[in-house]
Amino acid sequence: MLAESVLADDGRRYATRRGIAFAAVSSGDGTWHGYPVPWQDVPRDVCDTFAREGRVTRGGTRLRVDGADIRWALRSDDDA
Amino acid sequence: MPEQARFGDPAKIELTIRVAGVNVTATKLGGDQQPHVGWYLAPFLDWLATNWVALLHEERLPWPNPGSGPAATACNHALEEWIAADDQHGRQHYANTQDWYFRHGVRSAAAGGIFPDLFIRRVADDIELSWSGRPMAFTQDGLAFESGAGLVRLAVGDVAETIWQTLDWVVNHPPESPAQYHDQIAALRTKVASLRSIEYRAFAHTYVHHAILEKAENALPLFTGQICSRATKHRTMRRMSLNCHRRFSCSAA
Repeated sequence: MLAESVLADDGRRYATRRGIAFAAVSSGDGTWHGYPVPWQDVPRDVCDTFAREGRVTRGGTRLRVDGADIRWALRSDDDA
Repeated sequence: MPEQARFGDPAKIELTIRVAGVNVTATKLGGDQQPHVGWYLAPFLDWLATNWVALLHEERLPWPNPGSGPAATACNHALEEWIAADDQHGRQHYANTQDWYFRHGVRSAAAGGIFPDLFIRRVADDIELSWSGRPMAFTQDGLAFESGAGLVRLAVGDVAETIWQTLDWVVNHPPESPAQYHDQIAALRTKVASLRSIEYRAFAHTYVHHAILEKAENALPLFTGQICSRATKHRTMRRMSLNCHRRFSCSAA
C-alpha cells in the first residue's frame, strides 16, 4: 500500500483500499506508521487525485465508515 | 491552568483536557475508564503552535449558511454536506470547510490516537470550546467519550495562557525520546519561540478583510494598537486546563 500512496504537503502519505483512506507518518527511522483515517482528514488535493484515478468516488468519501470491520485506533501507545 | 505531574515512563506524555470541569478526553470501554489521551502527542502540540493565531482570533465560519450553533455542530455538518461535492463551487466550499477544520478541530491532529471531537474558535471576546462527544472512526465497539456533547465560552486570556504554558512546559521539559525525535522537538521549540514575535497583521487578518484592514491602517495608523489590545483583555477566572503528565519511572514505584 505504501508503494501506491501519495505524498501530501503535510508530509504524510495517503492511500486507499476498499473505500477506506489510510495515512502514514514517517517514524524518523526509515519506517512509516500507517493507520486508517476518515476522509475528512485526507487533504482534498489527495482526494482529488484519488478521484481522478478512479480509486475512490466522490460519494465514497461521504460514506461513514462506522460499519467497516476495522478497529484500529488505540487508547494508548502502550498497546501499539 | 496547565498542570503537570511526573510519574511513570520518562519517554511519554499523557494529555488530559478539562473544560469548565468537564474532562473531554475521558473515555470508557465497558467497565474500563481512561481519563487521558495516551498517544503520540507531538502532532497535537505542533498543531497547537501552528494554529495559535487561528485558534485565538479566527471567528468566521467560511462556508454557506453556517448557522449560529457551536462549531462542533456546524463544522461537522458542513464537512458532511460538502465533502462529496463535485462542482467547482462545491469543491471550494469543501476546501474552505476542511481548511477551517484543520485549523480548529483538535481531532484533525489525532494522528491515529483517540482524541475528543473538540473545536476551539474565537467568538466575539471569548473563546468557544465545543465538543460533540462523537466516537472516533476505527475505534473498538463500545468505546465512548464520557463527556457527551458540550459548549463553553471562556475568556481569551485564560485559554491563551493555558495553551501557552502547556507548549512552554513541553519544549522545556521534553520527554526522553529516541534520537530520531530530537529534530522534531527542536522544530517545535523554534515554532513556539516564534509565537512571541507574531506581527499584529497576522492576528488582524484572521477577522478583518484585508481590504478593510488596509483602509483602516491608511486612515488611522493607531488602529493597529486597538486591534492588538483585543487579544489581551478579559482576563478573568481560569477555567480551562490542559494536564500534561510526564511519566517518570523514578516516581512510579
